[in-house]
Amino acid sequence: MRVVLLLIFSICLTANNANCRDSLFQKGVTELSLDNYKQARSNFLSDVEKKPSFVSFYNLGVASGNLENWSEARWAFESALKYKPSSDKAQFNAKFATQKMDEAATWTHPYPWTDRLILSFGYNLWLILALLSSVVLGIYAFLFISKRKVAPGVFKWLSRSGIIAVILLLVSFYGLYHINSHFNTPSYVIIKTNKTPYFITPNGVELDVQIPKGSRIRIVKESKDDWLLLQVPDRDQLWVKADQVFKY
Amino acid sequence: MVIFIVSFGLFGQDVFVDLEIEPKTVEVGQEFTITIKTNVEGDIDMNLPDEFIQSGMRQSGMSSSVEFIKGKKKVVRYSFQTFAGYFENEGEYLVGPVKVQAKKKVYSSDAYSVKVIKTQNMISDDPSKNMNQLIFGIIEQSKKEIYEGESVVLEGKVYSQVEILQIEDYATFKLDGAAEHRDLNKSNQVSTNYEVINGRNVQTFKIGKQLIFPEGVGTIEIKPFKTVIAYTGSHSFFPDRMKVISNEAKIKVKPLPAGMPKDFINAVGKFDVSTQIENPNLNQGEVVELKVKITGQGNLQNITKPKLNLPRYLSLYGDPEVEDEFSYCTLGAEGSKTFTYFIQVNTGGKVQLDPIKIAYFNPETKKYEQAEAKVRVLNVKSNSEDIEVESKEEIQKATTPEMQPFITEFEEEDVPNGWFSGWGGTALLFSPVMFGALLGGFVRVRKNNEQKNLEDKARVQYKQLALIELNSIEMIQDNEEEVTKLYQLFIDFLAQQFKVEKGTISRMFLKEQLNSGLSKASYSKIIRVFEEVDTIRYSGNLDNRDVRHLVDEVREVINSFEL
Repeated sequence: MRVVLLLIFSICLTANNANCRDSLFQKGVTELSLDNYKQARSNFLSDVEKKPSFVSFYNLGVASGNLENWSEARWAFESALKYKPSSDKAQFNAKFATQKMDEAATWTHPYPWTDRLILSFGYNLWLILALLSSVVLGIYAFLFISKRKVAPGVFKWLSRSGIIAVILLLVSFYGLYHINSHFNTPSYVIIKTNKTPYFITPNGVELDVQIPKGSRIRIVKESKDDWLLLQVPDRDQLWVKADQVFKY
Repeated sequence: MVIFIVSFGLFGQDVFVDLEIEPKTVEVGQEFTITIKTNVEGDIDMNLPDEFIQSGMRQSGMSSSVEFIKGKKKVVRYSFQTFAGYFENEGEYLVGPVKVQAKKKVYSSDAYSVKVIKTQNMISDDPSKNMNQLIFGIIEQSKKEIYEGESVVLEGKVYSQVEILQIEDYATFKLDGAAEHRDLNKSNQVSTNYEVINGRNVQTFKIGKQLIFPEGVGTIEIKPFKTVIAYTGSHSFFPDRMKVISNEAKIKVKPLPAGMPKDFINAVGKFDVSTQIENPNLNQGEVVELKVKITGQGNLQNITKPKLNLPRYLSLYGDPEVEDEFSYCTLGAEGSKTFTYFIQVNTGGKVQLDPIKIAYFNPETKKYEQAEAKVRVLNVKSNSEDIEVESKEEIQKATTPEMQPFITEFEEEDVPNGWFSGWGGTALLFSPVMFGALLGGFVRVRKNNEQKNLEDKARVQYKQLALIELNSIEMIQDNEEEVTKLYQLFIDFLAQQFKVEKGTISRMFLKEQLNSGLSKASYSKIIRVFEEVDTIRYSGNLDNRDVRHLVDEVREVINSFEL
């Protein structure tokens, strides 16, 4: 009985969270339509913290852009691209925000075409392919180890599909691994301000370096105590405190 | 091909051949009207598709209208021909052009496409519940719930259990609230059918089909339609009459959802936008005509003008001229609405206007959707007496794009779930392979054990058989035969025990078996038996020797094999 009550309670809690999330998004949309960009930004910031998604990041970018906070807008649009790399709207707005900070700047897609290709297949498709090929290989392993006799036609089919299944399993496993790390490991930071401090080592000596606000820098490593090692183009690597930049 | 002959004077008017089709979108079997108007004298040739079925009579005559030509009133006289028809299959059919062959010249009209869509499904109350009435009417409606601005089709349907002779005094249904009504069928044109309801033949007809655009939101009641039906009386030579008042119906009008885009033009339906500039090459200070054409279906009649974002050096002259080209069908108002803006250009050089954007609500997808059209670049010849030179920044402003608008609908995304991440996920993915391998291993071990058990059983059986045969060898009186059989039995037994061919059993082989589990004692006994057998067999005086002890030794060896 106690277990049943606990289950009902947890279902209600989940439903409540889902409603809360939905209501934050809807509130944000309503505020945007009323041109209340500050309130909209606040709603979408909470929304992306609770459950990040393409639309929440994208609308956060629109709100931030309308508040002339272009570095945050760029971060939000490029974060949206993490979820839907092929979105024309997000690409347009990311470029728009970048050029609002520096008219001469050229904007490139943060993710190479290989990443976009892998992501375009979608996580579920990779998962289905991996499971299917794993099942085929499981059957193959069973027949091989158990030395069970099969009809010659079946053996021929198995030996052919076995090679394909091995390749498919490896490729789909790579696809899944890649998508998992794409979503779980931050790849870039957007510099918040021109006065962001940079260090030689975490908590070490501060460097006399200025990177323009809104620049996109690749993350090399993330330490457990919220320090990020960045690879600045044409420079050495440097450390920055995670709260001093927008990371995605 | 249809050929008519027209003859009358032109009276010096400008010649014209017009083809009018009303409506241009119809349902399968729904009538539409074709009207030809011309002031040209000659043979009329019209292209009509083979699938067109003419219904009713052709009407023709003369008419005139007053038009303003160059600021003067002029009476334009023309002949006209009108006829109706329908198509029986869905599709798009090209009607026209109409060509009038005058003395040496052929005058031609435009051709139009008629779109035939499938008949709309109508929702109504169950007629079988009214079978206690001789004649009754039910209101049919295309939808029970609509969005603000969306249209609904209403139609009356009369069911009669007696033979209908005449329909009189039809009064259409009315909405309990403001609404725009458009007739889709003429109320005096009905065709009857027979249907079987509750096992009875019922004569039915539909009447007063209307397209309604309710105004406001909430639940709106549809008041009944009324009519008088004359039918065959049972007791009188003259027809009986009955007043029929239909049921009432309701329709719920929902407000449009939140998140209305700023380019929203009050349009509900499915629309597109295109632009046209008549005079893109002009002098500074001149006025350019920008035509913005909204095409589609929905509440086209009620849409508002699209907003233009013009820089300071472009000035708008008054309100745009509006030209309507749409007709009403079951999908709403279908066609186009063109807004002509008059814009004065007060700068020189190439001028690029921002794209024209419209937003509308699509009731099918239940989302706000957008459409946009680019505007042609204007080549403006600079005026030498340039009064005001616009700064470079402002010219730039005309071409600077805006941020793409926000998104109102939340969409579920295909992102990883926690189940398949990390080592746990890897193990889960490879679990079918591992499971297959483990199961295979288990099956193999089990099979090997079964094989071993069978072999052990066979060896026991063979040992027992060997011992029984040994007993029978003991009974043989002839020494030579006894020794030969004993030798064969012993070799057979050993071959069976070591799972080899009989020819393999040799002293060398047996020595090798000392490393493979054969005890030294057993080995010595076997060798001794072999040597004794050899001695007895090849010594020459076999008959006088006692070979009984050999049998005992072989028995001892056989018994010494542990299984």
